[in-house]
Amino acid sequence: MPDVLLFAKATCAAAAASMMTVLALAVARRSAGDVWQTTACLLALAAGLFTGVCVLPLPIAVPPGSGLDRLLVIALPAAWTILWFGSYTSGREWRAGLFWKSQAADPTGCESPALERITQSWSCFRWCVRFAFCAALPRVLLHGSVYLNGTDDEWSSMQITVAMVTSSFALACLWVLLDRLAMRPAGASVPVAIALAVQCAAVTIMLAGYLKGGAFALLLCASLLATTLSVTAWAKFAGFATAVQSQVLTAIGLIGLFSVVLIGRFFGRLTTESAIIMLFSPLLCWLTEWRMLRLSGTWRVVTGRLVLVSIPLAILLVLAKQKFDQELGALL
Amino acid sequence: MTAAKFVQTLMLGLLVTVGSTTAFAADDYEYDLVHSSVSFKARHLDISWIHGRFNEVSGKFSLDREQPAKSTFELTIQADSVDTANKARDEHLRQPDYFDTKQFPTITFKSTSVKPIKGGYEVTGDFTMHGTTKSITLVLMGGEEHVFKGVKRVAFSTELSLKRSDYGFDKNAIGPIGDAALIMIDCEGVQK
Repeated sequence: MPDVLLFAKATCAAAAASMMTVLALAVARRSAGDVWQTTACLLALAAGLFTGVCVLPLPIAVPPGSGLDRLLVIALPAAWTILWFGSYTSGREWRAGLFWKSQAADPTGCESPALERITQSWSCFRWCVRFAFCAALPRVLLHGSVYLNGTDDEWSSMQITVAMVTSSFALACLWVLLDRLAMRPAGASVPVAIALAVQCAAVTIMLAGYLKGGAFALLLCASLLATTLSVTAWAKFAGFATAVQSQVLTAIGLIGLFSVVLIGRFFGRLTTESAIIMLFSPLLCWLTEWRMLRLSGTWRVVTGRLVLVSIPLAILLVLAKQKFDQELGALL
Repeated sequence: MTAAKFVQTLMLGLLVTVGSTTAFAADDYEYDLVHSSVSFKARHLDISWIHGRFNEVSGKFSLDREQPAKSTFELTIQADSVDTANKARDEHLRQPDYFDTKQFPTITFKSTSVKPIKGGYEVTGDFTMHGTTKSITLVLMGGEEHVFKGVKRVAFSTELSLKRSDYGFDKNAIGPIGDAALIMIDCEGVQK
């Protein structure tokens, strides 16, 4: 039986740690470039998750033994590294560094086409690394399980291979689509929408009987939400755009959502239908870009997106509660 | 000595030698699932006991009566065969908060040393559950042989108490079910 007060305490601690981290970094450097913004987002998320894990406490085995351990010890640090280096090579500072080098060779004062080509190549390379991460993620999360050693009754080797390839492809597509949306106006709503999906996943997985998985998802939701709100406030106060932060938070939130849902499906009792709905629900944000549903005003767009995403998630929660009352309620 | 008497003596000598060798060799036994059981019980709300069993168990043991220290014992339990007479609870027990059967499909015991005691054996070995291995000592009582329909059988019984939190079970999930579990193993082996 979960200790609701303890979970609430851990969630609040995670949110507070994320906010304090953003505040500290904002005070240290009020006006920030892409790299500093990305660093702030990643550090805030890490601080929130770490604090929440300590307060709960959520025991993590090193070397990792379960899917959740592998997510925390391998997958998330790898994602952080990829995103940080990605921001570093796409950042204005790096481009400026290349520009000054090309200036020394060609002092006419114009950005050379070579610089443009290099930047585009690096952009392609960054996405290739991300796609490779998407391909590897299901394999890492399922490592050592009955699915990969061919002893599972439900899934054959061929079926599990198809499932891993399909889920990697789905993650890659979602990443591209949501990354694009995060660059547009009201882009900060995308990580908030993902946080809603993560919250739904947390409760659904807990109601299905996997407390630890749901608890981690709660901490992720709190950290993601707190970081998003904090960096958005910082950007508004300091007067810089929020596209970079929205993209970084979208990426981490999506990777966390995908991982939690995959672990809940293959190790817990989350159904395939619930997993797919939760994973794809943030895509409903794209409906506000449709001409027929386009809204004017940032707040209207944000509200519209969150309402659209909340509808299927609310239905899932109701169904999960009904199932819990029927099957597991009697055990308590 | 006549030739016949020489052959007779030789044959007798050979028989004694072979017989001695057979008597000194270890007897190998296979775990008989039909006549054995691995069951457990744990406290519920500290007022009652929840009982359960594992339905798929396999194992083998080798008994060396002359040199008991050379005996070996192995047991493998399929964790997802857990049965507490409640389907919903069994599904719950298979999840990562408890046995995590998709990640850790088996619970195993493999002996590392055996010591004869009055009435049985004291067996020390590696017990692995939920990805955690610890050295434990079992007191196996029994070991009497019985030949039934030409097949030799040997049986042992043991009980052990262990804490689920020592084996990586989620402490938050322990709650109304007690941390300590009592495991009862009644094992009958059939000589191979």
